[in-house]
Amino acid sequence: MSKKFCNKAKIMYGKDSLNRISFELSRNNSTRVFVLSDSTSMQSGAVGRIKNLFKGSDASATYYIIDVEKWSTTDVVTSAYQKFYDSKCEFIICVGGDGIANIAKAIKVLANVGTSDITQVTNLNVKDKVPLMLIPTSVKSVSYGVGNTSVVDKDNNKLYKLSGSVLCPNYIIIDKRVVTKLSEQIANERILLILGMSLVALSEPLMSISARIFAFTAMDSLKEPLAIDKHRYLGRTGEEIVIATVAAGIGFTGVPKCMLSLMVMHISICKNIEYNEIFFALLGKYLNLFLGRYSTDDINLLGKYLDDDSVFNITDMQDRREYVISKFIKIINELSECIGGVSSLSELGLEESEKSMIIDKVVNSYGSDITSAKVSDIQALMDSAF
Amino acid sequence: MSMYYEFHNPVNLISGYGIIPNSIGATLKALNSKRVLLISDRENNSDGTVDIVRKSIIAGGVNVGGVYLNVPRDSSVLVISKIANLCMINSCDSIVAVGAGSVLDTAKCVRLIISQNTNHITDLKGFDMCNRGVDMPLVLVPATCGTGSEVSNVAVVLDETGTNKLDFVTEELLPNATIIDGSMLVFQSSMEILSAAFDALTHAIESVTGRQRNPISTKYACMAIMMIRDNLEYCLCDNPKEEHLHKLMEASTIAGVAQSSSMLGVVHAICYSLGVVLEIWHRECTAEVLPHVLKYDFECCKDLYAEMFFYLVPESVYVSTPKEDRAKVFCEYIQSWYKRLHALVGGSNTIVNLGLSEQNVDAVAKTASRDGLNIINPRYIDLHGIKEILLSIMRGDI
Repeated sequence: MSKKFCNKAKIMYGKDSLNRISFELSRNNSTRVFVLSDSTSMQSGAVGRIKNLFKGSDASATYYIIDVEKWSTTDVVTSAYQKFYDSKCEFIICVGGDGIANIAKAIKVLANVGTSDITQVTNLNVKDKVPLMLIPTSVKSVSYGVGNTSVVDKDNNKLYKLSGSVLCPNYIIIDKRVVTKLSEQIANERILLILGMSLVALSEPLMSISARIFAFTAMDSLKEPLAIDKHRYLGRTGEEIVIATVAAGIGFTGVPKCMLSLMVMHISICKNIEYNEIFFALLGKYLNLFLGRYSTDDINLLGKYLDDDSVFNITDMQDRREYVISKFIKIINELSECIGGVSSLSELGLEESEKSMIIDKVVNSYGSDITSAKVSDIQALMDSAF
Repeated sequence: MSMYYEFHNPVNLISGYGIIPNSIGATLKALNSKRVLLISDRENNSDGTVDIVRKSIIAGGVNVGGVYLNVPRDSSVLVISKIANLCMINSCDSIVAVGAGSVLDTAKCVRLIISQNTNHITDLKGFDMCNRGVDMPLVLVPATCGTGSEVSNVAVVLDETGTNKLDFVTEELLPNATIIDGSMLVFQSSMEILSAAFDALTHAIESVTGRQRNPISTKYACMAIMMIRDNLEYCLCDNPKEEHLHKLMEASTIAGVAQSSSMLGVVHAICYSLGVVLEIWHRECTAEVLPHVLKYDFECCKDLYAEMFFYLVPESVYVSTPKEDRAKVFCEYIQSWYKRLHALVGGSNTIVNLGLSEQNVDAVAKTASRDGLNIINPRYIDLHGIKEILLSIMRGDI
């Protein structure tokens, strides 16, 4: 059995990292650049900063600014691709958050596959000829920096989810000059997401070593994640949260068929509820149920995030495991309070009668990899959620 | 936020014990490869590794268009030109290499010379001298647990004279995919595993202490240190478990990812030089040189040593060592650990009995002092400093 991991993106973080754009364009021999962004980034001045970088350079840019709704639609993607195609550009830069990045990834796949209709894309094993550079202003989902996108076909009421290496961004540039400042509540929500995603990923036995490293990198970026109280995160900058979210996302997607992720995705699609809300509703219950999944090494590494080295005074490994995970659940609960509480699945509108339908969908997602133990785990988590 | 850093390692890592027979051909096929050039050396040919790889390629429906199995321990620009020529004459569209660092570095340079459309690989020496991307699939299979070359953006080969080391540093050296398979280590002796693993450990430590360190490469390095700690000793016993062999192999690769992003330091500058002057494997020297360089860098690196301490030592040592002593014990532990394992495998070689002497110490120091890696070292070092380290090794000061 083999484990696979690939993170194509070149991550550039920190002071003046935007200034690297011209170097990377020249490295790719690209002189015509398609800059995709949204009106929020336009108003915040983020797009203006990118424009300034092109002044006096050999490259010319075509700008396309759109308002992004909750879901990218096939219409929006087709129009954006048409604009890209007409511009004869050879490089895509996307400035903004998750919504616009989702559209940029869709354009990238169309440009590389050579079609204008995302619903017709089947073969993603194509050469990566048109590079994509993401410049986040904020990131709220772990799919931001990885190779997937979702597009809704409103006419046929159908959701297209594409994933593959060709959708991966080639560059992610995180520069504080364009990153949005976050309110305390939003910062805490992002931290809860990063912590939760990393903990869930680490519980998965099929996770590759590189994915584990990214999960821990995400937690490192948070600094002192256990020193929680309502005000502790005020000092954390937007770009620290962005890099942590990107790292958590890379780690999380290194987990093939993550049970919690599949469950959240199916509930999100069936009930049209935000992914993060469902994830938060299930997180504490998942950790309680599956704390036995963590390896000794990972429990020790997680223990290192606790204050001083007191965790290593607990000599019994099972006791240590329970201690470490219970501490993290406590943090998660405190963070949940900081963001005004987390709703249960029932409060989010999922009926108990819909339980078996969700379980079936999650089970089916595993295809031939499903085992009776896995089915029991899925049922246990669903039961626990109600 | 005052610092800037980059992290880039787009290599597709495919990892599993015993996966080689079924994975190389499939990987090549996914890369649209049709006709492959297979590169290796005599050791891997004679122990049967090359045959396994060849069968895996064919099993994936890909043809073997050419074979070169004579890469020397220290490859050179002449070897690279010869293989590049072989690749073009046989119309190969992709390359697979299996072996230690020299074989893998050679394959990386062969692809580079073909892709950059030049007849002189020396035109590309130095940092980022390529003017176009690479468009030829390259799959690397490390056969030791120390090289890291399978995931690094660096290649080191000798010039035409065979006396000067040339460094190539560019993203275009990164392969498309790397197959990590711990079963490759069953062909290695315990001594080879020990020296290779300490080379990997040194990659990890130098990437944490070096000036180009960043949070992601540091995490890679620390995890590599931990995996070497947890698995190396088991791999030196008779009939080691697959799990330990594979994790040691993975540790070497992730240490390679770390060093690719952060680069190395004086330990490798000295060991490469020892390799060239004494005509020995550089990995035979790293474990002995490392403690001396740790001592040289101590004052500017003690916080980083203390940070790595957790990953290096067993839990009992960690909890019983006061925080203020961790950096010092880190350095002592590395040396005592190596000495114990060296005795365990019946090792007797030292750098001195491999040939370092008063007659050649100046030549070794001079060659090492010209190495660009010295700039990355956390503490400034010059010819005098390097010679002092070499003399301290000869005196057995630590």
